[in-house]
Amino acid sequence: MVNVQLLTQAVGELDEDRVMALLTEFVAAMPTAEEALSALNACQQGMNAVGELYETGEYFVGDLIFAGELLTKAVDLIKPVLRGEGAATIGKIVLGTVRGDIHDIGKNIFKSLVESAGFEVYDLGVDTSPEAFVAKAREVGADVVGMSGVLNLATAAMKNTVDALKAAGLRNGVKVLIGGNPVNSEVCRNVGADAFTTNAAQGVKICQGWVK
Amino acid sequence: MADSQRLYQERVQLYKDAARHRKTNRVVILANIWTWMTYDMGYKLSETLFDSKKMGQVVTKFQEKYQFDFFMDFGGRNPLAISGALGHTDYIINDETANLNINDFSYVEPEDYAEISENYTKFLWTKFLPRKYQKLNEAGAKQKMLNAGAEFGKFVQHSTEIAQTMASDYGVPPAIFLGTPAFWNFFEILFNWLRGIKGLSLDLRQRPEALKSALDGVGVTDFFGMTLKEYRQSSQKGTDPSKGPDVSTYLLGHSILSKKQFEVFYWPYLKELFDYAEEYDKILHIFAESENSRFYDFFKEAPKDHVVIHLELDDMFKAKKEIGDKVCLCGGMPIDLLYNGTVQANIDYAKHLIDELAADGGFIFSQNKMVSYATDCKAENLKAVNDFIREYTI
Repeated sequence: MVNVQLLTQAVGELDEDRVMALLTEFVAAMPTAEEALSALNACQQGMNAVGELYETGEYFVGDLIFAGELLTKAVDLIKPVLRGEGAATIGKIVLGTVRGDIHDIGKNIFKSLVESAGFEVYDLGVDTSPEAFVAKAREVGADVVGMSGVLNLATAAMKNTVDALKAAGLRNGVKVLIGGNPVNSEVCRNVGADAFTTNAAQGVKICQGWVK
Repeated sequence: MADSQRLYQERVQLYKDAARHRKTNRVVILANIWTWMTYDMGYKLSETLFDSKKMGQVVTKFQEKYQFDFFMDFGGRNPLAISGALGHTDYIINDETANLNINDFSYVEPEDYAEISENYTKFLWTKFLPRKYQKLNEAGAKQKMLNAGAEFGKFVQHSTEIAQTMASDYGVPPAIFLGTPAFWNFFEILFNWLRGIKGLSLDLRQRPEALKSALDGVGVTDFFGMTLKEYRQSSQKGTDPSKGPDVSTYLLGHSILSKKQFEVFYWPYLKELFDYAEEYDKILHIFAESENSRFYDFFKEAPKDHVVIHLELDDMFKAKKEIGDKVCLCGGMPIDLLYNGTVQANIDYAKHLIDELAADGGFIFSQNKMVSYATDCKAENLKAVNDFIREYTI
């Protein structure tokens, strides 16, 4: 059984060597699926700590990028022993960088954090058309549509996507979150989104609030 | 004296007075306008980015319309014909939106840092170039290098011609980007051209000592490898009377750093530039992308009246309050407003900025983001703001 407290702490401190050592030893001991789930939860708790440290300014964007990579490596180690057991899903998010924009780092940071918070994420990648957002949201019954963008032109694409969700009759059934450099309260209002954020950790909290 | 000469001198003086916190009658207007000018002048990026003659037409027509005092860029930022001759570019052009995107990349492997630290030039020739421009590993590489050299020659010639025309016909001093010697913390060169955002983010955590050693090994440098230490040796004391700033630097990669990381990986190199500006009585122009408030403690260390800082997304009123009059602030005009607002709302905001920030000198008016894409700005708003500022007495 992994020491969940130590694992949570190591993830929170972004101590890659310690995280990988703890998990390698854990996996070698042939844990049960239930124990693997508890290790996964410990990693998720550690990512919450990363989000909190980002909010205080102790960590910044580079740390979040690193945290995303660390979490991916940790999950890859744990996955084989989960044997199909997965953490409970608290909601479904369709996520993408909007049409005309190919910046995906902010989107990927948000994805790592929101997945670790228990959301099932359908990542549509970059340069995503409004039609693709609509089709995936309909297909999976999304709770949230998350749109990301760095370029100022992204805000127009976000608005087009919200309009497409409305035209498809889906808008009332989903919450829309926009994120990235160019968003602010005025952009949020113009786009017709429910919330905006320039902070991935805060974005996770917004989504958690919506599915409570 | 010809009007253009008089204008040139007036503009240089206005810039220097602002930098030195001397009160002026009006504020300097700096164009933080990049690819948007191509869109606004009715050209396509795919034309002008490969044809510096057309770019020259864009810049001069643009100046006739808006009458800026200074420019960040005369269209030389993305000389794609040079990398095109080498068979590769990381850029993706979208003419419809006037959009120039760049894919993330990494041409540095973690184990390269030791070599970079020891012999950066060798690394560029033996590792970077063959990795980025893979066609150089094939037959015909020599011809490709010659073609790229020829394109570079054309680029320099046309850039010089544009700068000369802007000075002689329009009284506009050299652009800050490419027209002013630029020195970079090597962290920026890694971030923007060699290692990329993801690679550097991992290195900050996985191999901080190796990264730091490369930053120290290469030092503060220009594009061509001349270090600030070497440049100092040929510097004369005093500011150049024919230019606005004497040297420039660009803070872009700092946007991934926490304050603690900045102190280690950035501040020593920025301080080197501050020290140079103070010792040689130069004016340093800094362009600082993104939001910078977590770095104000460092900016406060700037030698008074020697540094202009263009803050991109910062609250300028808060910046003025917190940094004080150590540096001349630059920027402030929100491009959200320039695109979405009315003419009157834009003029009102411009007036508010000037009244609050320029009353005692120490402010240069500019846009708060690099104006690049079709939806970054509306022409009538930009023109109205510039017309207003030129006439507005402080």
